[in-house]
Amino acid sequence: MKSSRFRIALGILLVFCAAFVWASGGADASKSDSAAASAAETAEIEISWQVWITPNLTRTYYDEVVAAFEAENPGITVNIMEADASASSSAGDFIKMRLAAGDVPDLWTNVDIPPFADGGQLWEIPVDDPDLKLVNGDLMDAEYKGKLYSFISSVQPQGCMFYNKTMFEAAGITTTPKTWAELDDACAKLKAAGFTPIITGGEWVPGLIINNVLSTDLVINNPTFWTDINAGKTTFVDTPEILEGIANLQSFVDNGYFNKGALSVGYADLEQQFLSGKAAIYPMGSWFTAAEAAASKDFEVGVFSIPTKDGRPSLVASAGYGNAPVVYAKSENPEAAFELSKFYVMDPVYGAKSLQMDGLFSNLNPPLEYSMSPLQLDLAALVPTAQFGNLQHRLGEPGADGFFDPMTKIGQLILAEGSKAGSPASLAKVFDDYVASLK
Amino acid sequence: MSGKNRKGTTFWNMVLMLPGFSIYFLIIILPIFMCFYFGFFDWDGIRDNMTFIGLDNYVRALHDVNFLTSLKITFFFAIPGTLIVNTMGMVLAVLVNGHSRMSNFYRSSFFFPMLISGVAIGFIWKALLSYSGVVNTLLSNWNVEAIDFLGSIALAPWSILLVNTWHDVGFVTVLYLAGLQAIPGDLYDSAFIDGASKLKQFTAITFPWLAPSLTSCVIFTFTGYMRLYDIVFVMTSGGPGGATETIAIQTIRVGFNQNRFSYGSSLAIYMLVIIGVITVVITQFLRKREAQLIS
Repeated sequence: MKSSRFRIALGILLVFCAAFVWASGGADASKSDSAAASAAETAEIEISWQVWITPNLTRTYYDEVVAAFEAENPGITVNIMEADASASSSAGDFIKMRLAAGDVPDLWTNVDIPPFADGGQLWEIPVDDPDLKLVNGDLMDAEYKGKLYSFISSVQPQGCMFYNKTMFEAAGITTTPKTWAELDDACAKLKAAGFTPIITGGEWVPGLIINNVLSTDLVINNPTFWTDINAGKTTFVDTPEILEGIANLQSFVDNGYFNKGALSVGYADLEQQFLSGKAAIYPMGSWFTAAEAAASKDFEVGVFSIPTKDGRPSLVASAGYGNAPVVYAKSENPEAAFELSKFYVMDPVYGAKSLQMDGLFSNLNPPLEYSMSPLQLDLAALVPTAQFGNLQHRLGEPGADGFFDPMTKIGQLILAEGSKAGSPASLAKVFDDYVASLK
Repeated sequence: MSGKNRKGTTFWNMVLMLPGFSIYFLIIILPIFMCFYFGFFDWDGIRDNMTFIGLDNYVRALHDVNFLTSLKITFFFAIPGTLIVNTMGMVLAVLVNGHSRMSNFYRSSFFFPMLISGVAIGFIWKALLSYSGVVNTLLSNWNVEAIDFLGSIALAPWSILLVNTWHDVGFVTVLYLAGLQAIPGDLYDSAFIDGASKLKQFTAITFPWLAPSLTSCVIFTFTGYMRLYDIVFVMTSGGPGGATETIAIQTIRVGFNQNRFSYGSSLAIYMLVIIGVITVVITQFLRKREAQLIS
């Protein structure tokens, strides 16, 4: 009697658990069914959009974009899903969690295309869409394995060196450095004049610095570096640009050109410290120009590219496989989602506003225009030297998955210990080991 | 209670357990099994299909330098952390034990850090310990050179240890205080009459009677330190240069940043097994010790 009651109770318990699990998993499907029925009744299309929230691109701004899009496209309702840059440096992380949860938005902003394309999660955009004729250059420059998932709507320079013009003048520097030797000379003068030559910070910032410093020569000399790495034709240890880039950075640390305690300065503080005149040079991406334009300060900011070995201009930029938001392959309304993607990056008002808010430059013809600050105009003059490739995203083939992790680690080690962190070859080997560990 | 009633009670106990057990099953048990299952596949967490690779992920982890380094770092936090927190907790408990009007105040004060989330604590201490933070500002007022608590490879792990100690010591103190309150006062009276010193009273009465509390506190702190994530992530994100990268951070990084979801799952299972085995060993040892001390 006791055992039969126990079995009944246990059975109920297990059935209840199973029902609970089923209900959790099945909720999405039933929701989709009811949503589809409801949409059919009202002829409404509902799409969701994962937006990338940063200090520049706020929720309020995205709400404005959505309101304008909905007004222009009656019958389409857009629900925003936030991906906050302060919680993770990759918008793709949010998508992975949403894929696992079965709650995937129709449109995704700011994600790396290769892993999601390889996973079959991206919708191939129509190459013959008439709006895409506005994109500068060859549209297929952004193809991945022969398919187009996005397009290059804007240029985002990353290898920028913003500088305090007053400090440069006080240190007697009249021309901006183009080679590593010239930058070394400029930093020595700044230090001698009592300034902190270069300011940088912790978190993800050292990864960005490593990416840009190592990419600046590499992208000119071997634009198919990742293809060669994957084919086993070269290694990081055997690549002179990698070793020289690491050695240059180490010597700058050894010479005391960076701010003390750099690794415990957060990104938000870092920007403010440069804007309050704590250092002469601030290596950062073009998004800084938006913050600079809004800041009140008593000095002017200029910009030059991260130097190269021989002074050839090379502005490291990020575009990879396109930067217009991508559409989820299983979206019920991919066309509507793609319309929103185009609206976000091509609309004369909101497309231009998004460029302005994030310090980007239009890659459309005719270009989207916005009122540029003097710094943005300076940077716009460098954009023609932009190289659409870098170690993190693409040099021939895409960079190894998660390659920003070892770059950040090596960047932090160098900033913390300079040449004591190890020889350039031993640090470059960390990259080779990382790539090998993925195989 | 008759046998029939007892059976009925068992039945209803089981039925009443249903909602709680279902939730526990769904959010704890099921993910553990899923994690174990994913570990046998090659999957990036993105593709719809997974490739079965048997034990490859579990074998690979044993040779993974990054995993083994993060394990070492985790033990660096867990072993000294457990010792420091429990020693300090016990000492503080003995010091504030009593029936003075201040004892409740002490208990509340010590317990307070436990009420704050790890993320908030991370931000608070980051603001205190960063290079231009409050502590260094105070030091500069005394003409002491700033210390790079979080950016130095040598100091960052100790800073994390300090913050976690601060966070946990109050809770442990409260548990030890509860243990102290349960010790009969007669024992101390007898010991006093017999001329036992304070130290002798501690070693012969207090410490043995605190054995059950010690077991709970050691397990609580050790497992907490082995799972260290939130405070470290906010304060250093595992840096600088991987100096504070615990297993939990390494697992998340591998699974999400590096798109190696199944390999990350296998690391998580290793973490579970390591914590489980060590916890069982510690528990067995401390329970045996409890029995010896009480007898």
